[in-house]
Amino acid sequence: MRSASKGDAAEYEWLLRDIAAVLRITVRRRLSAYGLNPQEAEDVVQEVLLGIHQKRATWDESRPITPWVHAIARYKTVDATRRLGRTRRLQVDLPFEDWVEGFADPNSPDSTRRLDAETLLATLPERQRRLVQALTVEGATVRNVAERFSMTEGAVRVALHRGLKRLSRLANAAEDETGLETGR
Amino acid sequence: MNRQTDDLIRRLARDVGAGAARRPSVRIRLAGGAGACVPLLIGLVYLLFGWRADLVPALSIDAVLLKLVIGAGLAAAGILIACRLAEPGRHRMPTVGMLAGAAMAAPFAWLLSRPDPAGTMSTQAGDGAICMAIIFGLALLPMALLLRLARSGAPTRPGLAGMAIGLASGAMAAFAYAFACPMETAGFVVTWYVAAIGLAAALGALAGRRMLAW
Repeated sequence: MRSASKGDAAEYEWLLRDIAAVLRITVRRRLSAYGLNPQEAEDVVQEVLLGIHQKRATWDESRPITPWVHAIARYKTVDATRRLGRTRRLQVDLPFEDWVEGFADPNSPDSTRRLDAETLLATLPERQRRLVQALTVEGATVRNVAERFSMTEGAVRVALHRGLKRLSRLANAAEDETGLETGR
Repeated sequence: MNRQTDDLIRRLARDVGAGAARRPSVRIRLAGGAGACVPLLIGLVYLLFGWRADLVPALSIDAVLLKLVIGAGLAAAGILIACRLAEPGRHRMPTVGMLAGAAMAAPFAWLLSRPDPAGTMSTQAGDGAICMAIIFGLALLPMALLLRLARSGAPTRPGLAGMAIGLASGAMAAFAYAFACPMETAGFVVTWYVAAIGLAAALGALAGRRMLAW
Protein backbone atom coordinates (compact mmCIF):
# COMPACT_ATOMS: atom_id res chain seq x y z
CA MET A 1 0.00 0.00 0.00
CA ARG A 2 2.86 2.29 0.81
CA SER A 3 4.24 1.80 -2.69
CA ALA A 4 0.74 2.22 -4.06
CA SER A 5 0.49 5.68 -2.62
CA LYS A 6 3.71 6.43 -4.46
CA GLY A 7 2.06 5.19 -7.62
CA ASP A 8 3.50 1.67 -7.93
CA ALA A 9 0.68 -0.04 -9.83
CA ALA A 10 2.21 -3.51 -9.84
CA GLU A 11 2.70 -3.64 -6.08
CA TYR A 12 -0.80 -2.35 -5.58
CA GLU A 13 -2.20 -5.01 -7.87
CA TRP A 14 -0.47 -7.70 -5.82
CA LEU A 15 -1.91 -6.27 -2.65
CA LEU A 16 -5.46 -6.20 -4.00
CA ARG A 17 -5.08 -9.76 -5.25
CA ASP A 18 -3.96 -10.94 -1.84
CA ILE A 19 -6.82 -9.15 -0.16
CA ALA A 20 -9.32 -10.54 -2.68
CA ALA A 21 -8.12 -14.10 -2.09
CA VAL A 22 -8.59 -13.85 1.66
CA LEU A 23 -11.87 -12.01 1.34
CA ARG A 24 -13.36 -14.56 -1.00
CA ILE A 25 -13.07 -17.21 1.69
CA THR A 26 -14.25 -15.15 4.63
CA VAL A 27 -17.14 -13.51 2.80
CA ARG A 28 -18.38 -16.81 1.46
CA ARG A 29 -18.31 -18.26 4.93
CA ARG A 30 -20.19 -15.29 6.32
CA LEU A 31 -22.86 -15.38 3.66
CA SER A 32 -23.59 -19.03 4.21
CA ALA A 33 -23.60 -18.48 7.96
CA TYR A 34 -26.43 -16.04 7.38
CA GLY A 35 -28.23 -18.43 5.08
CA LEU A 36 -27.50 -16.35 2.01
CA ASN A 37 -26.29 -17.54 -1.32
CA PRO A 38 -22.48 -17.84 -1.16
CA GLN A 39 -22.39 -17.20 -4.89
CA GLU A 40 -22.99 -13.55 -4.13
CA ALA A 41 -19.59 -13.47 -2.44
CA GLU A 42 -17.76 -12.31 -5.55
CA ASP A 43 -19.92 -9.20 -5.72
CA VAL A 44 -19.17 -8.39 -2.12
CA VAL A 45 -15.45 -8.93 -2.67
CA GLN A 46 -15.59 -6.42 -5.52
CA GLU A 47 -17.45 -3.93 -3.34
CA VAL A 48 -14.75 -4.19 -0.69
CA LEU A 49 -11.96 -3.76 -3.23
CA LEU A 50 -13.67 -0.68 -4.62
CA GLY A 51 -14.11 0.69 -1.11
CA ILE A 52 -10.44 0.15 -0.33
CA HIS A 53 -9.49 1.88 -3.53
CA GLN A 54 -11.81 4.86 -3.09
CA LYS A 55 -10.84 5.42 0.52
CA ARG A 56 -7.15 4.59 0.29
CA ALA A 57 -6.27 8.11 1.41
CA THR A 58 -7.77 7.40 4.82
CA TRP A 59 -5.07 4.88 5.66
CA ASP A 60 -2.49 6.45 7.92
CA GLU A 61 0.89 5.18 6.72
CA SER A 62 2.29 5.09 10.21
CA ARG A 63 -0.29 2.51 11.24
CA PRO A 64 -0.57 -1.18 10.41
CA ILE A 65 -2.74 -1.83 7.37
CA THR A 66 -4.54 -4.96 8.52
CA PRO A 67 -7.02 -3.32 10.90
CA TRP A 68 -7.79 -0.75 8.25
CA VAL A 69 -8.53 -3.33 5.57
CA HIS A 70 -10.42 -5.40 8.08
CA ALA A 71 -12.66 -2.49 9.08
CA ILE A 72 -13.53 -1.68 5.47
CA ALA A 73 -14.19 -5.32 4.64
CA ARG A 74 -16.40 -5.66 7.67
CA TYR A 75 -18.34 -2.51 6.87
CA LYS A 76 -18.96 -3.49 3.27
CA THR A 77 -19.81 -7.07 4.12
CA VAL A 78 -22.30 -6.10 6.79
CA ASP A 79 -23.82 -3.69 4.33
CA ALA A 80 -24.13 -6.35 1.64
CA THR A 81 -25.46 -8.95 4.07
CA ARG A 82 -28.19 -6.57 5.09
CA ARG A 83 -29.05 -5.75 1.50
CA LEU A 84 -29.07 -9.36 0.38
CA GLY A 85 -31.16 -10.32 3.37
CA ARG A 86 -33.68 -7.71 2.39
CA THR A 87 -33.97 -8.80 -1.24
CA ARG A 88 -34.08 -12.41 -0.24
CA ARG A 89 -37.30 -11.84 1.63
CA LEU A 90 -38.91 -10.94 -1.69
CA GLN A 91 -37.58 -14.06 -3.30
CA VAL A 92 -38.20 -17.72 -2.88
CA ASP A 93 -36.56 -19.30 0.11
CA LEU A 94 -36.40 -22.83 -1.25
CA PRO A 95 -34.30 -23.72 -4.25
CA PHE A 96 -36.23 -22.36 -7.12
CA GLU A 97 -36.95 -25.59 -9.02
CA ASP A 98 -38.31 -27.36 -5.93
CA TRP A 99 -40.71 -24.58 -5.40
CA VAL A 100 -42.15 -24.70 -8.88
CA GLU A 101 -42.43 -28.47 -8.86
CA GLY A 102 -44.08 -28.69 -5.51
CA PHE A 103 -46.50 -25.95 -6.18
CA ALA A 104 -48.10 -25.57 -9.53
CA ASP A 105 -48.22 -29.02 -11.00
CA PRO A 106 -51.70 -29.21 -12.48
CA ASN A 107 -51.68 -33.02 -12.26
CA SER A 108 -50.77 -33.04 -8.62
CA PRO A 109 -52.16 -36.17 -6.97
CA ASP A 110 -52.93 -34.13 -3.89
CA SER A 111 -56.64 -34.90 -3.56
CA THR A 112 -57.59 -32.11 -1.21
CA ARG A 113 -56.64 -29.52 -3.78
CA ARG A 114 -58.43 -30.50 -6.92
CA LEU A 115 -58.29 -27.04 -8.36
CA ASP A 116 -58.13 -26.20 -11.94
CA ALA A 117 -54.76 -24.54 -12.43
CA GLU A 118 -55.79 -23.13 -15.74
CA THR A 119 -58.82 -21.34 -14.32
CA LEU A 120 -56.78 -19.92 -11.50
CA LEU A 121 -54.05 -18.80 -13.84
CA ALA A 122 -56.58 -16.99 -15.96
CA THR A 123 -57.39 -14.71 -13.05
CA LEU A 124 -53.84 -13.30 -12.98
CA PRO A 125 -52.98 -10.12 -14.88
CA GLU A 126 -51.90 -10.82 -18.44
CA ARG A 127 -48.17 -10.33 -18.11
CA GLN A 128 -47.90 -12.13 -14.81
CA ARG A 129 -49.97 -15.00 -16.14
CA ARG A 130 -47.76 -15.46 -19.18
CA LEU A 131 -44.66 -15.37 -17.03
CA VAL A 132 -45.92 -17.92 -14.51
CA GLN A 133 -47.25 -20.12 -17.25
CA ALA A 134 -43.97 -20.09 -19.13
CA LEU A 135 -42.02 -21.08 -16.04
CA THR A 136 -44.36 -23.65 -14.52
CA VAL A 137 -46.44 -25.20 -17.25
CA GLU A 138 -44.05 -24.89 -20.16
CA GLY A 139 -41.02 -25.44 -17.96
CA ALA A 140 -38.88 -22.68 -19.45
CA THR A 141 -35.70 -21.62 -17.66
CA VAL A 142 -35.49 -18.35 -15.76
CA ARG A 143 -32.87 -17.03 -18.14
CA ASN A 144 -35.00 -17.88 -21.11
CA VAL A 145 -38.02 -16.11 -19.69
CA ALA A 146 -35.91 -13.13 -18.63
CA GLU A 147 -34.83 -12.70 -22.22
CA ARG A 148 -38.28 -13.15 -23.61
CA PHE A 149 -39.80 -10.56 -21.26
CA SER A 150 -36.66 -8.39 -21.35
CA MET A 151 -36.39 -8.44 -17.55
CA THR A 152 -33.47 -9.28 -15.30
CA GLU A 153 -33.37 -12.79 -13.87
CA GLY A 154 -33.89 -11.42 -10.40
CA ALA A 155 -36.99 -9.57 -11.51
CA VAL A 156 -38.35 -12.75 -13.08
CA ARG A 157 -37.89 -14.65 -9.84
CA VAL A 158 -39.62 -11.90 -7.90
CA ALA A 159 -42.48 -11.75 -10.39
CA LEU A 160 -42.89 -15.52 -10.25
CA HIS A 161 -42.89 -15.46 -6.49
CA ARG A 162 -45.59 -12.80 -6.46
CA GLY A 163 -47.64 -14.66 -9.02
CA LEU A 164 -47.46 -17.90 -7.10
CA LYS A 165 -48.34 -16.20 -3.87
CA ARG A 166 -51.35 -14.69 -5.50
CA LEU A 167 -52.36 -18.04 -6.89
CA SER A 168 -52.06 -19.71 -3.52
CA ARG A 169 -54.23 -17.02 -2.01
CA LEU A 170 -56.84 -17.58 -4.66
CA ALA A 171 -56.59 -21.33 -4.21
CA ASN A 172 -57.10 -21.06 -0.47
CA ALA A 173 -60.07 -18.79 -0.95
CA ALA A 174 -61.59 -21.25 -3.41
CA GLU A 175 -61.02 -24.07 -0.96
CA ASP A 176 -62.71 -22.19 1.84
CA GLU A 177 -65.74 -21.76 -0.33
CA THR A 178 -65.97 -25.47 -1.15
CA GLY A 179 -65.50 -26.23 2.52
CA LEU A 180 -68.52 -24.13 3.34
CA GLU A 181 -70.60 -25.82 0.70
CA THR A 182 -69.90 -29.35 1.93
CA GLY A 183 -70.53 -28.26 5.48
CA ARG A 184 -74.01 -27.16 4.63
CA MET B 1 -9.58 -16.19 -9.41
CA ASN B 2 -12.75 -14.75 -10.78
CA ARG B 3 -12.35 -13.02 -14.16
CA GLN B 4 -14.49 -10.01 -13.36
CA THR B 5 -12.67 -9.41 -10.09
CA ASP B 6 -9.40 -9.77 -11.90
CA ASP B 7 -10.41 -7.09 -14.37
CA LEU B 8 -11.51 -4.83 -11.58
CA ILE B 9 -8.19 -5.19 -9.77
CA ARG B 10 -6.27 -4.41 -12.93
CA ARG B 11 -8.36 -1.32 -13.56
CA LEU B 12 -7.91 -0.10 -10.01
CA ALA B 13 -4.17 -0.67 -10.20
CA ARG B 14 -3.94 1.34 -13.41
CA ASP B 15 -5.87 4.09 -11.69
CA VAL B 16 -3.38 4.30 -8.84
CA GLY B 17 -0.57 4.56 -11.35
CA ALA B 18 -1.87 7.99 -12.19
CA GLY B 19 -0.64 8.99 -8.72
CA ALA B 20 -3.36 11.16 -7.26
CA ALA B 21 -2.02 13.97 -5.13
CA ARG B 22 -2.77 13.27 -1.49
CA ARG B 23 -5.17 15.66 0.10
CA PRO B 24 -4.83 16.56 3.75
CA SER B 25 -6.11 13.73 5.90
CA VAL B 26 -9.69 13.81 7.09
CA ARG B 27 -8.50 14.28 10.67
CA ILE B 28 -6.70 17.49 9.79
CA ARG B 29 -9.68 18.71 7.81
CA LEU B 30 -12.11 18.06 10.65
CA ALA B 31 -9.93 19.66 13.28
CA GLY B 32 -9.22 22.62 11.03
CA GLY B 33 -12.88 23.05 10.14
CA ALA B 34 -13.88 22.99 13.77
CA GLY B 35 -11.15 25.43 14.68
CA ALA B 36 -12.35 27.83 12.03
CA CYS B 37 -15.96 27.51 13.15
CA VAL B 38 -15.44 28.72 16.71
CA PRO B 39 -14.40 32.33 15.96
CA LEU B 40 -16.97 32.46 13.18
CA LEU B 41 -19.74 31.44 15.57
CA ILE B 42 -18.63 33.90 18.23
CA GLY B 43 -18.62 36.63 15.59
CA LEU B 44 -22.04 35.58 14.40
CA VAL B 45 -23.41 35.69 17.95
CA TYR B 46 -21.99 39.21 18.28
CA LEU B 47 -23.71 40.31 15.08
CA LEU B 48 -27.05 38.71 15.91
CA PHE B 49 -27.38 39.29 19.64
CA GLY B 50 -24.41 41.35 20.78
CA TRP B 51 -22.27 40.11 23.64
CA ARG B 52 -23.52 40.65 27.13
CA ALA B 53 -22.42 44.02 28.45
CA ASP B 54 -20.85 42.62 31.58
CA LEU B 55 -18.87 39.95 29.75
CA VAL B 56 -15.64 40.27 31.71
CA PRO B 57 -17.08 40.41 35.22
CA ALA B 58 -19.58 37.71 34.25
CA LEU B 59 -16.70 35.30 33.74
CA SER B 60 -16.39 35.02 37.48
CA ILE B 61 -19.94 33.69 37.76
CA ASP B 62 -19.90 29.93 38.13
CA ALA B 63 -22.78 29.24 35.78
CA VAL B 64 -21.27 31.34 33.00
CA LEU B 65 -17.94 29.60 33.37
CA LEU B 66 -19.78 26.32 33.35
CA LYS B 67 -21.28 27.11 29.94
CA LEU B 68 -17.87 27.80 28.51
CA VAL B 69 -16.34 24.72 30.08
CA ILE B 70 -19.12 22.46 28.89
CA GLY B 71 -19.02 23.98 25.43
CA ALA B 72 -15.28 23.72 25.02
CA GLY B 73 -15.04 20.29 26.64
CA LEU B 74 -17.81 18.64 24.68
CA ALA B 75 -16.67 20.27 21.45
CA ALA B 76 -13.17 18.89 21.93
CA ALA B 77 -14.52 15.47 22.87
CA GLY B 78 -16.84 15.39 19.86
CA ILE B 79 -14.13 16.36 17.42
CA LEU B 80 -11.68 13.84 18.84
CA ILE B 81 -14.24 11.09 18.55
CA ALA B 82 -15.24 12.16 15.04
CA CYS B 83 -11.59 12.15 13.94
CA ARG B 84 -11.22 8.62 15.21
CA LEU B 85 -14.40 7.38 13.62
CA ALA B 86 -13.66 9.00 10.27
CA GLU B 87 -10.91 6.50 9.51
CA PRO B 88 -11.49 2.77 9.32
CA GLY B 89 -9.90 0.51 11.88
CA ARG B 90 -9.71 3.00 14.73
CA HIS B 91 -13.11 2.25 16.16
CA ARG B 92 -12.41 2.64 19.82
CA MET B 93 -13.50 5.92 21.26
CA PRO B 94 -10.39 7.83 22.25
CA THR B 95 -9.75 7.74 25.95
CA VAL B 96 -9.20 11.48 26.02
CA GLY B 97 -12.64 12.12 24.56
CA MET B 98 -14.33 9.80 27.00
CA LEU B 99 -12.46 11.35 29.94
CA ALA B 100 -13.43 14.84 28.81
CA GLY B 101 -17.05 13.73 28.70
CA ALA B 102 -16.86 12.17 32.14
CA ALA B 103 -15.10 15.24 33.55
CA MET B 104 -18.15 17.29 32.57
CA ALA B 105 -20.06 15.64 35.36
CA ALA B 106 -17.85 17.06 38.11
CA PRO B 107 -18.66 20.79 37.79
CA PHE B 108 -22.32 19.90 37.31
CA ALA B 109 -22.48 18.01 40.55
CA TRP B 110 -20.64 20.74 42.37
CA LEU B 111 -22.82 23.56 41.07
CA LEU B 112 -26.09 21.74 41.46
CA SER B 113 -25.30 20.97 45.07
CA ARG B 114 -25.18 24.70 45.84
CA PRO B 115 -28.31 26.79 46.20
CA ASP B 116 -29.15 28.89 43.17
CA PRO B 117 -28.29 32.50 43.92
CA ALA B 118 -30.86 34.02 41.61
CA GLY B 119 -34.07 33.02 39.89
CA THR B 120 -35.78 29.68 39.67
CA MET B 121 -36.29 27.29 36.83
CA SER B 122 -39.96 28.06 36.43
CA THR B 123 -39.50 31.77 35.74
CA GLN B 124 -36.93 30.99 33.11
CA ALA B 125 -38.56 28.12 31.32
CA GLY B 126 -39.74 30.21 28.37
CA ASP B 127 -36.39 31.90 27.93
CA GLY B 128 -34.73 28.53 28.18
CA ALA B 129 -36.63 27.14 25.24
CA ILE B 130 -35.58 30.13 23.16
CA CYS B 131 -31.99 29.71 24.27
CA MET B 132 -32.10 26.08 23.25
CA ALA B 133 -33.58 26.93 19.86
CA ILE B 134 -30.89 29.54 19.22
CA ILE B 135 -28.06 27.20 20.14
CA PHE B 136 -29.57 24.46 18.01
CA GLY B 137 -29.91 26.86 15.06
CA LEU B 138 -26.32 28.05 15.44
CA ALA B 139 -25.16 24.44 15.57
CA LEU B 140 -26.52 23.76 12.10
CA LEU B 141 -23.76 25.78 10.47
CA PRO B 142 -20.71 23.93 11.83
CA MET B 143 -22.62 20.67 11.51
CA ALA B 144 -23.17 21.14 7.79
CA LEU B 145 -19.53 22.06 7.27
CA LEU B 146 -18.09 19.24 9.37
CA LEU B 147 -20.35 16.62 7.81
CA ARG B 148 -19.16 17.72 4.40
CA LEU B 149 -15.56 17.49 5.48
CA ALA B 150 -16.14 14.08 7.03
CA ARG B 151 -17.33 12.71 3.70
CA SER B 152 -13.73 12.58 2.57
CA GLY B 153 -13.16 10.11 5.36
CA ALA B 154 -14.50 6.59 5.56
CA PRO B 155 -16.52 6.20 8.74
CA THR B 156 -17.46 2.58 9.21
CA ARG B 157 -20.07 3.69 11.72
CA PRO B 158 -21.66 6.64 9.95
CA GLY B 159 -24.39 7.22 12.52
CA LEU B 160 -21.97 7.38 15.41
CA ALA B 161 -19.57 9.62 13.50
CA GLY B 162 -22.47 11.92 12.66
CA MET B 163 -23.46 11.99 16.29
CA ALA B 164 -19.96 13.00 17.35
CA ILE B 165 -20.02 15.80 14.80
CA GLY B 166 -23.45 16.92 16.01
CA LEU B 167 -22.20 16.85 19.58
CA ALA B 168 -19.19 18.98 18.69
CA SER B 169 -21.33 21.39 16.68
CA GLY B 170 -23.88 21.81 19.44
CA ALA B 171 -21.14 22.32 21.99
CA MET B 172 -19.39 24.93 19.83
CA ALA B 173 -22.66 26.79 19.38
CA ALA B 174 -23.28 26.68 23.13
CA PHE B 175 -19.78 28.01 23.76
CA ALA B 176 -20.34 30.89 21.35
CA TYR B 177 -23.81 31.71 22.63
CA ALA B 178 -22.53 31.87 26.20
CA PHE B 179 -21.00 35.22 25.20
CA ALA B 180 -24.51 36.63 24.75
CA CYS B 181 -26.75 34.57 27.00
CA PRO B 182 -27.68 36.42 30.21
CA MET B 183 -28.84 33.37 32.17
CA GLU B 184 -26.67 32.47 35.09
CA THR B 185 -28.08 29.66 37.15
CA ALA B 186 -26.57 26.21 37.04
CA GLY B 187 -29.90 24.49 36.73
CA PHE B 188 -30.66 26.53 33.67
CA VAL B 189 -27.41 25.66 32.00
CA VAL B 190 -27.75 21.99 32.78
CA THR B 191 -31.25 21.81 31.39
CA TRP B 192 -31.27 23.93 28.29
CA TYR B 193 -27.68 23.88 27.15
CA VAL B 194 -27.42 20.17 27.50
CA ALA B 195 -30.78 19.72 25.79
CA ALA B 196 -29.64 21.86 22.85
CA ILE B 197 -26.38 19.96 22.53
CA GLY B 198 -28.25 16.68 22.79
CA LEU B 199 -30.64 17.70 20.04
CA ALA B 200 -27.74 18.67 17.81
CA ALA B 201 -26.10 15.31 18.47
CA ALA B 202 -29.33 13.49 17.60
CA LEU B 203 -29.69 15.39 14.36
CA GLY B 204 -26.04 14.71 13.59
CA ALA B 205 -26.61 11.00 14.07
CA LEU B 206 -29.55 11.02 11.66
CA ALA B 207 -27.69 13.10 9.10
CA GLY B 208 -24.59 10.98 9.47
CA ARG B 209 -26.41 7.78 8.63
CA ARG B 210 -27.47 9.31 5.34
CA MET B 211 -24.58 11.56 4.43
CA LEU B 212 -21.62 9.59 5.70
CA ALA B 213 -22.50 6.15 4.40
CA TRP B 214 -20.30 5.11 1.47
